[in-house]
Amino acid sequence: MGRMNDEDLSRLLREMPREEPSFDFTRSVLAKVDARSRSGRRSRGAVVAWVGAALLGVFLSQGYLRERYQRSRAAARVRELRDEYRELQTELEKLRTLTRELEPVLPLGGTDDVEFVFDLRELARREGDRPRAEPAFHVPSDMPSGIEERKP
Amino acid sequence: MLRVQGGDREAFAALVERHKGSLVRFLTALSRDRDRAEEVAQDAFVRLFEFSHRYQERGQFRPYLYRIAGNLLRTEDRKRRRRAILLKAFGGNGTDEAAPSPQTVCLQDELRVRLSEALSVLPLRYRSPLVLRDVEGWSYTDIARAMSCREGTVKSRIHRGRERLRRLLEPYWNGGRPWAE
Repeated sequence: MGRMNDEDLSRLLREMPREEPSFDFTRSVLAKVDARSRSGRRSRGAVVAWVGAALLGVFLSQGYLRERYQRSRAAARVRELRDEYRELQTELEKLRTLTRELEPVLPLGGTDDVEFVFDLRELARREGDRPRAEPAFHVPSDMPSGIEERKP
Repeated sequence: MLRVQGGDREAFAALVERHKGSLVRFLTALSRDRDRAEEVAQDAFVRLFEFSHRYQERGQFRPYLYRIAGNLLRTEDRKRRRRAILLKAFGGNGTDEAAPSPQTVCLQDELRVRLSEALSVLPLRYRSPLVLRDVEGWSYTDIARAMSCREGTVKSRIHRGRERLRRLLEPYWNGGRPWAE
């Protein structure tokens, strides 16, 4: 029995049944190409829709965030103004207290024993204004109005 | 192919008509399943059309097309092997092979049946160049381009493929005459 050589093997391979494609092979290929391009267009459309929706979402959320930011800034400003107002109120109250404690008198001189002052409220009374400060002490009736005697 | 790249469907249809026969024969010889070969051949043409923009005209269209088809067949082979492993793992018989094709059943010649079987168990890296050379009559250069390897590698693989086939077929070889005679 002779050994099978390359030529024998090649011949056998060449003699194998030659399969032919089906008669509608080309038509099937074209149909597959059409189907793929349709699904490609659909998927492209879906991608475009998703991208559009995502962009819209981004814009809306940006507008919402911007509005929230502006509101929070406005609220912070209002708080600042209120704090400032409270501080000013406190300052004003202190000034009012100070004013109340001060005597509205004008020193006129005097001696070691006596000090003469002019009560400015008298001036205000003369001009018809309401006195702005409460009297600090009793004014003797025999002294000229406005001038007071004080002992050190 | 330039016209196909421009979206010319008629040019594409003409290309399919020209090459479908040899491609189906090549894939049938590789897969031993004509229906599967036709499916893969169709997918190869579809892929060719879809990615026609990647093709660069250098007079190597046929190796380019066969490379696509070979890769598709290889991918499908891997999926089938994985499926077979899963089927086996879940108590199946390890195969989802259909019944032998009518072509196999009709083959009368014992040697040719054995040849077909021997070819199917040959690894794809030996089977492809052997079929392209001995069945389709390609040059070593074209085979190398189709398989993206050197000519020396092609020759070596063809030689090894022939050695393996010879070992499998020797018991059925009768001094140059098939056993059926």
